[in-house]
Amino acid sequence: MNFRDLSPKRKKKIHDHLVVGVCLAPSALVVMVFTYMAFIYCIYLSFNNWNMLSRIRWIGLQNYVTAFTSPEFYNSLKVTFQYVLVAVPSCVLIGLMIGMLLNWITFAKGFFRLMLFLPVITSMVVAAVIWKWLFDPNVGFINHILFSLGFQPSHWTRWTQDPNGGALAAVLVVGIWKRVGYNGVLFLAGLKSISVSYYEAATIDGANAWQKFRLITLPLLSPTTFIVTMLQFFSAFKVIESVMVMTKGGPAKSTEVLVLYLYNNAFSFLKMGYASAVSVVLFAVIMFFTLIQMRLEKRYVHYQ
Amino acid sequence: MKTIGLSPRKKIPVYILFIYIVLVALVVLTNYPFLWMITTSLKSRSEVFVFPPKLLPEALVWSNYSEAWNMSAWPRYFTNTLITTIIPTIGQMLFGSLAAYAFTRKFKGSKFLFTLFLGTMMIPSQATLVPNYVILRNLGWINTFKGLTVPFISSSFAVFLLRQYFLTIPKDYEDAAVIDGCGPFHFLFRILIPLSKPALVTVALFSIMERWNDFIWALIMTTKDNMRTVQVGMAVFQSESGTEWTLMMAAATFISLPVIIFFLFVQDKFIEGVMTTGIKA
Repeated sequence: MNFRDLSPKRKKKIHDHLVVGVCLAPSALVVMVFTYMAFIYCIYLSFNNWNMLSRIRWIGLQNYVTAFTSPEFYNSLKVTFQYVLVAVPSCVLIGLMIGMLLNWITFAKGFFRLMLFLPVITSMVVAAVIWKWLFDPNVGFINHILFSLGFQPSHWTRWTQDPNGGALAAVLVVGIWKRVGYNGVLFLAGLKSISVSYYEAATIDGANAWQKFRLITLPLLSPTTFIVTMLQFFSAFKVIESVMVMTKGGPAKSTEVLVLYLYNNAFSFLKMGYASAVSVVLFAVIMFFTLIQMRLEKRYVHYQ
Repeated sequence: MKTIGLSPRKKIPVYILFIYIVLVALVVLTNYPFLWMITTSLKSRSEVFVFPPKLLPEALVWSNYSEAWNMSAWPRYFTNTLITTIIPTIGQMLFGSLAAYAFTRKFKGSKFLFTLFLGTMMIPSQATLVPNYVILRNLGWINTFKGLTVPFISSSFAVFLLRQYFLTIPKDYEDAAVIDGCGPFHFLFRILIPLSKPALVTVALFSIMERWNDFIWALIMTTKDNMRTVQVGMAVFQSESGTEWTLMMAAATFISLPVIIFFLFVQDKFIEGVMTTGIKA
């Protein structure tokens, strides 16, 4: 049958489908190949042993068994959770503070917003290089300030060279520094959306500042707080660049976060199958926390 | 409320002053690393190793910049970064608009496909790093601009954002245009896209920032020096130059300066974009 012989209605339908197909094709291809196909391929690789030179060899669940019996894998999980447990609350709280401060003022608001946002647009590599220098244990600025404030040198002040917390603390400072401006701007947007009339009514009823914050701001801000916390959690969970530049996971693996562990296995040791298994675990952990957070959202988040 | 009088008409509450003091302190704290970077980049080598450190250099050593500039192939890195930034940005605007336009229409499976697009935001790029590397290696795209750009020429974020914006434009426009004999692509490019500038600007700015600052992908995609981007160049420079802090800070300065200057021009639009979408991180 020829296209010309079709009824006009049918022609239009085919034409519409063609338009949709042409429009979607490039994006669909990119999204499908580099996300879904990649992820399925990742699952497949995770059941294999492969160093990119040898032939792919099916080994079943061996990679997962190796991961869950490997102290290094547990170490990377532990380091990641330590990072997340500090980074998430501090970034959210400081962000909330910045958002509220910016929301209170009118004069030079744009200037302050801009200045607090600068770390966000700086690349993590540059940020990490600058902070590595600030944290230099011998001639760095941070130690200069700490010592002149009366702090005694300890293993902490070895910073990136200290396996007992100093290195992780240094990496955390960079992560927090780079992120709070972003959270602040999100909180500012959330605060702006709360109608002034609530506060006016509360003032008439004689509420004090703390009561207003507790009973109006916090509940009505909860959708924003939820989003910020979730984004912050995922971003902290996937941290790698600052660690790579500042400590390379050391000393003594004390800053080897999960994504860096994955990266090292894949690109330093060429254990592609094993690294794929770790990727799948990373995905599973993130999914698990997404589900938990969605549950929490239903319980604690109030929409206006 | 307690106030301090400036003039009888204009009184500033004390707490506002307090807020400004806190904000100024925060700004100083936040930007001190940048200041430190710039002043260190102008110090002499020996000054760096003096303890306690001084903020300002004794004499301005501008030669740090030329020395750092000549130590690596920075012009090449900048060119590479520019290419790997521009192509995906144009791609995301073009292909993002096309797909977004398709999703404003109802067709069989449109809901399912759209959900698939949104679902990609749940899969972190770190979890697909290994398979994507293998895929592109099998295609022979390592050390090529294809490998650095093609995976980013569209994104579900761009599609989502543009679709939401397109939906705010009344359907009557399209109906009227169709009656006047306007085809779908003509409508998209002549009417819909020009009406959606704010959303397109947001997509472009996010893409530019993300691509320019990208490190991990560029790192695994490139093994040859002449394909490196500035971020990879900076990381390598850092690991190779040990304690040459003055040179490292000079390099850090000339790398971040273009971004900061660009950002100063677009900051309103960019921050507004962050505030309205809140999705991108």
